[in-house]
Formats: sequence, C-alpha cells, structure tokens
Amino acid sequence: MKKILVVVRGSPYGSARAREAIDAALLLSAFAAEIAVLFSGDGVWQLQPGQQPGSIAAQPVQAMLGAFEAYDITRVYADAGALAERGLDAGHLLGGATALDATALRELFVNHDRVITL
Amino acid sequence: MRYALLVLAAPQSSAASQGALRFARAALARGHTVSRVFFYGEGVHNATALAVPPQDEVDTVAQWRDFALANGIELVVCIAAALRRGLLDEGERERYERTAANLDPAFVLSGLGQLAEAALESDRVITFGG
Repeated sequence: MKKILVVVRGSPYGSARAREAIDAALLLSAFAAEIAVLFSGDGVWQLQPGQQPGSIAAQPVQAMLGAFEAYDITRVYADAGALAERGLDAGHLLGGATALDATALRELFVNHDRVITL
Repeated sequence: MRYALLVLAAPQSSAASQGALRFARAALARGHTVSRVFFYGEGVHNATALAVPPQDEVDTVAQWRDFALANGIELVVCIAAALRRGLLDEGERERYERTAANLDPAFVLSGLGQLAEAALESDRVITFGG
C-alpha cells in the first residue's frame, strides 16, 4: 500500500471535471494506505462556502466533499497561492481544507509515493 | 522507469492526447516501460471508433490503436466517464439498449480501479490534458 496524493484542478460547475476528480479521489482512497487531496489552480473554487448551484440545475460540490469523511479522507489541502491569486479567503474553506504555502506544498508532494493529477 | 499515463482531453479539441502519444513513444524508445494508458473525463473520446478526422489532420484514435498493438500496451477507458459521454462497447450497448456501440476494439472499458492499480504498479503517473 502506498501514500497517494490526488491533485484536483477543475472549477466546480463549468465541466464534469471537478465531479469526476472527486469521484476518482473517493475510489483511490480504497487503494491507498494513506490519501491526501490537494485543491490547486481553479480547483480551489470548489472549496468556497455559500454555493447555490441549484439555480443552474447543478449538484452542489458540498455533498461530494462531505463524502470525504465517510471514505476516511481527512487530509484535505488547498494551495494558498491559488487562493490568494483569486482573492479567496483561506480561513473559510469547505471540506475541512487547510491552506498550504509553497514550502508546505513541496513537502506534501515529497511525502507521497504517488501523485495523481486530475 | 515505469510510467502510467492518464489522458483527460479529447483528441479533437486539445493537443494533450498527441502529447501523451509522443511521451509514450519517447519513453519506450529510451528503454522505459509504459504499463497502461488510462482515459478519463473528456479523454474517453480518444476511444471512439466513429470519428472521421479531415484528411489533412492526424488520426489520433488510429495512432493510439497502432501504438497499443505494436507495443502490447493496455488502453483502458473509464466506464463511468464513457457511459455518460455516449461511448459504449457491445456489452454496454446491450445492457442499456442503445442503438449502436462505438468503442474502438483497441480500447477496453473498465473501472477507476484500473487507474489505481496502474498508479501503484508504476513509478509515476503522468497526466495529459485538462
């Protein structure tokens, strides 16, 4: 069993990408000794509270992030640089995500056996 | 080095699939191994048997097929991503009672577990597209 880091880069509603990335993360958790999920790039939009996608007939990502706990995915991170670039508040993130700076990100990548970018 | 490739982009709308092919060929040429190519998200469109590219454009699907046959490399398409985009093999066509199957025979439909397995058996997973 290996430590797997899944990097999620897609914004939540423009395409199926975010949803499929979360699906993959949930499944990969069954194959990993340890799993961590990092939201980077436009993926950090998924972590914003107060989303109301019902008005565009989309399913809220909150429900999917809520599944993390059931799958024992407790290590959820966001790229602090990506948050800052988009003017987003690192203090209020869904899914229990913790913002990591560049140094911490480097460590995160180094400390995992496999990185799967979605 | 043993590589698994993950393709997330359709061949018609992105250069990523061609990039994956070039990477795979170059890796083999340098003595590395490509254990599996996994197609996910929009990448499942690489497996259609029905695309008709213009004559002056490369036929990426045919190139994947030739590459897989020549090197004995598995081309695995995520079944969930394929079904929602209308990419079916004969078995799924029957199961969902659709009028046609369109998966190129060089590709197989399977689950995300195949991506996990490929990731664990390889040294690196390289993502193309998205």
